[in-house]
Amino acid sequence: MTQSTRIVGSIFLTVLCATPLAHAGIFDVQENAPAVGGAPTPVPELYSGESDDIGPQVALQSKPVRLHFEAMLDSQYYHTDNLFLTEDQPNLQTKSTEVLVTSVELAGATDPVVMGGGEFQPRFGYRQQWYDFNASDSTTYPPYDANDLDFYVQTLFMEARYRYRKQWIFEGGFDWSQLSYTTGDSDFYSEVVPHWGARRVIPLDATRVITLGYQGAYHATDAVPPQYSSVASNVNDRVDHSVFVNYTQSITPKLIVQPYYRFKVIDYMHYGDPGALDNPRKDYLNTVGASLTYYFLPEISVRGFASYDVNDSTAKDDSIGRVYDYKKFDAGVGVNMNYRF
Amino acid sequence: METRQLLCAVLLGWCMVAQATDLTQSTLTEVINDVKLQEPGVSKAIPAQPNALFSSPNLLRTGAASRAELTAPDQTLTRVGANTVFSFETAGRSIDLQQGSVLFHAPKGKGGGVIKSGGAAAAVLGTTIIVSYSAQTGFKVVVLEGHAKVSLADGTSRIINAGQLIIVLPGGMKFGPQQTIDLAKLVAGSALINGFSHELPSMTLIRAAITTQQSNSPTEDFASHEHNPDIDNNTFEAGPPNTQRSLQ
Repeated sequence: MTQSTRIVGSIFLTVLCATPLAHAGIFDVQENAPAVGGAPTPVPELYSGESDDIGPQVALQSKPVRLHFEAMLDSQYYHTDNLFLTEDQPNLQTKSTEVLVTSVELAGATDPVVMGGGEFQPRFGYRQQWYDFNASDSTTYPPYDANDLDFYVQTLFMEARYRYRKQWIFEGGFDWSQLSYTTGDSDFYSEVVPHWGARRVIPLDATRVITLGYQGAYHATDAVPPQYSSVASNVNDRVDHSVFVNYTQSITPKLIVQPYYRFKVIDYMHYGDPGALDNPRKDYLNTVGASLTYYFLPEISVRGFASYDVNDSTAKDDSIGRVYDYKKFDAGVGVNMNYRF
Repeated sequence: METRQLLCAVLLGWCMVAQATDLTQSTLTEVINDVKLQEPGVSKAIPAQPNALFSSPNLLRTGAASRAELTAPDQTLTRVGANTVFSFETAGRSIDLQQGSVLFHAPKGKGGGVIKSGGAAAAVLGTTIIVSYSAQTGFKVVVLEGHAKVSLADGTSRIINAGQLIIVLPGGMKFGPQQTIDLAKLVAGSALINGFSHELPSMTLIRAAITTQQSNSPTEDFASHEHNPDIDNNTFEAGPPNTQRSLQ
């Protein structure tokens, strides 16, 4: 693969820095319980005999907020029918392949701290993901390198979640990610991503939940520009806003199904800049999908998943005929292990 | 009296009860031992009888080892402990607790209520709380299920959750400690909860709150938890770099 091809590829990389990994399972609700317990101490009466009516008042001392760590290993293998997000045009052929994504994460988090009627929990850590593709770039020269697309992502993250009355969740965070090709270890893209969101969890009954949510993120990007090009390294800077609805059902205590729909607006801030690509771009991405997860143990689960994307972009044909409209179907399986200590 | 100066509490309550029926009268559904009703400006109190109507601005007084239960037309329940003096305000859904203790339960959708004492106020919507007050030592709120908003005279407020207790210091200008208490122990030993002939309508919710506290996790474990909140299957959304066609 030529360096210039890699560079150009990085410019058009439409990756979105992943939100923190889905380490959570149905069992991790204990993480969100307030830290109470410890030696009881009596609460003084306001007047003699008060406790006879109110009842004995014994305060449970708050446990000191402690820091714990979480280690996570996740691996998934899936098929995608449009590896390069090829435009949905009759004369263009999409490339399908299989992808192996392996993730490791080490995070630190405090116990939830009761604050303002809700629970606040900060978290920070490091995550690394390896993307191995069963495909190569047809434009490479020399013509074949089986690993020329493989890359890995290093991410430092810190985030905080505020859960109010168990049904409102507000979250914000800050990620820094660096993408590097596995072959040659060359860095080709980095981004700093402040992100924010809110979710409303609507329980239907003991086994069914609907979640409505919003997530937003600003991506400050830095990609190696192509040679002989005036394209700025920050051409991928963007703001995205997503709204989604999830339906989650516990079929059995260990089997969870979760279909979802998401609509995302992605505003590329510099595509229309003179000297950049002169092609203003705003994408409207619709995604429907579902996952089925089985928990062998609270710490070990397997899942099957599928999703279908339809992207509609305002960008016109650019100098290489790119319009950024595409459809994509992914389906695969994954395994997740996490350990808290 | 300081309690009459609680404009903040009135405003707080007004927001909650603007669409609700006023809580200005209730029927005495249970009378235990020494319970008396007293009209304002009249020195003599008369013994309360079961099924009697108690309405604003009359006072209800209980003696030692005495209790009373009042049920409003909208099923809002007020249980009154020993050595207590309280009244309904003439409008709205406010209770003026002059001394002693009350348990207050407002069914959901009925407008809740505000309990005021000594410069502080506890506002609730569809919740069960106990409030006690002494002019010398302060104002105490215990939430049995749900949530309550406790406000000072200056409008400062705190949200108190089930199983928590807060004390407002005398004068109603400063919060004392907000503590998590052993809810099971309190409920088991409470005459306001157990000292009547029938069970509280919100007892199921109170038991659920106890279970939550004892298990150190929410009772609505599943409902409160969002499984797999990141719906991208742990990947970057668009896959690998788009290298199929380049600017060659």
